[in-house]
Amino acid sequence: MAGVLIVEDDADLREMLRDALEKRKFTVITAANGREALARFRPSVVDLVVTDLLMPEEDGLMVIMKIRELKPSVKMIAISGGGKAGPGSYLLMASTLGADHVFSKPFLPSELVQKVREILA
Amino acid sequence: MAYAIAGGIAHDLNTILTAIYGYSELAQESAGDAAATEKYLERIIGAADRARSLTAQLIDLSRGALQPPQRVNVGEILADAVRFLRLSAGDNITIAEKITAPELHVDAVPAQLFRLFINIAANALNAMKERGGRLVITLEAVSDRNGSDGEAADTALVRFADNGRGMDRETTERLFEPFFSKSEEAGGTGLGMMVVSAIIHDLGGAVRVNSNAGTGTVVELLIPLSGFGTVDEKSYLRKTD
Repeated sequence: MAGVLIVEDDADLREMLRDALEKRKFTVITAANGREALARFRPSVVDLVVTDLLMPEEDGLMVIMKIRELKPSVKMIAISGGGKAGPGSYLLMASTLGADHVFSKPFLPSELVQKVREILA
Repeated sequence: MAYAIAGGIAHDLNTILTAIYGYSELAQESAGDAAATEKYLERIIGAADRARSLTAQLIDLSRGALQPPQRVNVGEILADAVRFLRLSAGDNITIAEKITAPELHVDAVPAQLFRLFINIAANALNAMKERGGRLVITLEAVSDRNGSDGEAADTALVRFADNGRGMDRETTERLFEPFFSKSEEAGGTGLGMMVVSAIIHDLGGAVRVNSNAGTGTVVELLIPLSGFGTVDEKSYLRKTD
């Protein structure tokens, strides 16, 4: 089954996304920040990255750029609850940098799972 | 400051709402699996608790606007806070109080000041919970006017010094940013120190943080005494550094 790396600094949300994807038989790796994500990223395992954008260490935009360098074919979904530049503009930046899809929080896990399946189909 | 706080609150609430929506949907899908449903419901309650903590911070922040400040004895409020903290601190943590100036009065909302002290001390207790440690809370009168010696005190200095895990330089410098939190595992919302800073500045005061990873953290609150104006933080820093 496809592998998904979840990068989210909020522990509750991280575990919720893990549960939602594991229930659908995805292989899931999690990271609490960008730095951890880069350390845990395995090109042979991870097909898609779900990353938050505003995180304490190495934000999501850096994750998108650096992981793309490691594996250009990896798919990306950016998620954000908003921020200094507003949720729209920050997610727009993620799209510009190559995110395949963006979600504004809050969203349902079923919406994410459906999008993951579509992108990886 | 207000825009940054509003943005931070919206960001944190959206994150908490995503967890609540998500676990609710997972609970729906788990009908018939009582253990899974119970786990997801517990997570929903946990997330709702975090939302409640966030709204409590909002109330703290707005209390100054909703209630007029009054002349309050800092030492009495600090002593109340210490009694409360001793009830909640673990057995491996000691709390010492050194109130060298018991009759210091500032203009503040008493409940807001109490929560402010609790908020900072809670961070200290959290930093010591694994290894244990000692929190020393000090209240003294200082002068920040032009930094000259022998001047009458015009400022209350409340210091919280712990020997917990401390923070590195980057963490300390970013402590007051709305989205920067190191306490997410403990259910923090990331707004705590920003709210502290906003409240203290509303009181005409200042916050100072010194921390070293592995050795502990010192948080100092400078609050102008009743009848005196805004604390001149720069003058204070020159005098003590």
